[in-house]
Amino acid sequence: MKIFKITGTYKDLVETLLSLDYKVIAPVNRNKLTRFDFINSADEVLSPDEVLNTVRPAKEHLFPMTETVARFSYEGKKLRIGDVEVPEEKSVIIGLRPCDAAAFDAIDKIFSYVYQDKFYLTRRNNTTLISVACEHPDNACFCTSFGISPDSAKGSDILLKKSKDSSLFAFISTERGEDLARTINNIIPEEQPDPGRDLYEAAEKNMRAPLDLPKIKEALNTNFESEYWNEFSRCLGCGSCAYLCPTCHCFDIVDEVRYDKGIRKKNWDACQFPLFTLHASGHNPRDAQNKRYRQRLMHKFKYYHDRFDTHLCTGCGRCIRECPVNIDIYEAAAELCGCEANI
Amino acid sequence: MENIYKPFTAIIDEIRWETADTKTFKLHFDDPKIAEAFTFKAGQFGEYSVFGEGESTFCIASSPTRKEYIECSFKVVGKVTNALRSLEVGDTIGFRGPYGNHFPIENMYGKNLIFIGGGIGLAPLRSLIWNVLDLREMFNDITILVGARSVNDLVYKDELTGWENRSDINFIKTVDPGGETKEWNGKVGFVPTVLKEIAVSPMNAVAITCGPPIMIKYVLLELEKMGFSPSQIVTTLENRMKCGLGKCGRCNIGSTYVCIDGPVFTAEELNKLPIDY
Repeated sequence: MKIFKITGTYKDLVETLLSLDYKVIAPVNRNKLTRFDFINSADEVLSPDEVLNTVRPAKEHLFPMTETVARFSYEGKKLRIGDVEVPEEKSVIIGLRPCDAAAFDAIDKIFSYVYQDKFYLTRRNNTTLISVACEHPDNACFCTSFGISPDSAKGSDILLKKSKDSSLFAFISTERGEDLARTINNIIPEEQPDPGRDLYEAAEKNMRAPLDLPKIKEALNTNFESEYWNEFSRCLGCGSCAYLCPTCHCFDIVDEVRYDKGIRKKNWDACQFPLFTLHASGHNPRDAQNKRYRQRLMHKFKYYHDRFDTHLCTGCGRCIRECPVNIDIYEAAAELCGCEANI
Repeated sequence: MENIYKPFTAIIDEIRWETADTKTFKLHFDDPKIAEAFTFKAGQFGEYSVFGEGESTFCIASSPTRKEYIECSFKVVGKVTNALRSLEVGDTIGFRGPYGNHFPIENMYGKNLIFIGGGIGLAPLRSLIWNVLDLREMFNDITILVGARSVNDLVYKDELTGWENRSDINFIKTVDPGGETKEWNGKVGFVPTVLKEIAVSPMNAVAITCGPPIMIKYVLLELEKMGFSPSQIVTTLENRMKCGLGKCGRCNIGSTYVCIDGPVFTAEELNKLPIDY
């Protein structure tokens, strides 16, 4: 980890990034929805003081909601299948929070497991992540449950942090981060001592207490058939939680066709939808909403961990903030193992 | 990096109606280089596609010992299988694969094999059966028990007759009560019941079964009653899949992905999984 001081403001830094040979992605307000988008000017960027976390995470820039993975066309009976190239464009995502940066570390595992998904991985290799530490986590945040913290550098190439006197520092943990930092003249190329984490220690104290993950996993190991899951029949199956989650990676593969040409697409999908697991025969292994909620919780706190030694949740709190029937994944996990949800 | 979602093209060489709603395609790969390089093992599956309609998951129903072609059998039930039904010889489909694990044939050499197939569940077994028959001397006694709801629902009818006529196979066929015809010369009874009647020995044996979930369930119970240990029983599962590559997130049974860790499981492995299939 190398620490450097930054001159000027956060917006000055964004301005500099725009002058470099990178596409810049940052939090913006689009049609009253806060999300990450390509920007052309620093003026449209929501500063970290304006928004704790965007409603939609940055995930969509590496794993888009919908994306073409093959093309096909017919000339009479002759079928041609065309590949789809992923442009090797350098981009930088600035303004994401430590939870969202860590989320990419988590989904890297699935997209490179056995088979390499070039669509995700090419973008991932070309993207530099500049995250911003959180001074004011809200009451849905629980990143500390996953070994992340309001100023954790996990998953970030560069983490921006403030010292007690509000000076801005860049904590650089990767070569990719260093490469970018070298081209940024707002970063003084002289290593600094750690300015301390006073602001963030204070922030951490206001967050939900860390979940006891081993205890939760133990409870999940033995409670597959528990009546506990019935409580989640109230889930509407709207899929908001999955669509707003920085780690949900499930997708569908569908064709779109017009006359004799078409495309094959990979579209986000969600385990909360009844059709997700419906067999052609009519049989559905997860034929009720409580079973689908069980899958969601199991996947995040047990299944993914069994395979990859990583949880499929980083405590960003989006699913808690946005669930229309107030299902709280932190509470759901804590109460399963008889722990008090310490919110 | 290679595009793991891009299918090969395969040409339909032959189409057979197996039953009123089940078809078999014989396919070869369009690109001679792929045809040359393509290998698979019995039990593996593929993603077959009709462009504009999507992809469907079926096992490769032919034997890996027949290298010039692959075959798949499918029941016409959904969007993709309806589109496949209307294709003709010479038409092109997409194919991705082979995916998944395979039947543990390396553990079957020198053993007595008992195949128990129900309905279209015979398709994955057929790949292994022909694999074993093509290397017949490597195995000991072979018993094949095949069942279907009715005589009309039996698949691979010509091949069944061929197996029945061979002296090196103990072949039994059955249809569910009420599914028989006047001419039917096989047994009448559900597959697990007939299995009980023929009472196979677990000595030096491996039982391989596939069929409707309810059939598998009772076949496993019968086999265990006969003294088969769960490690001597092999089955193959299916769950809805999209990618076949362990990524799209829907075919899992607990932490186990049917597409990557399966589709072939021993009963010993199945016993450890939650009932989520």
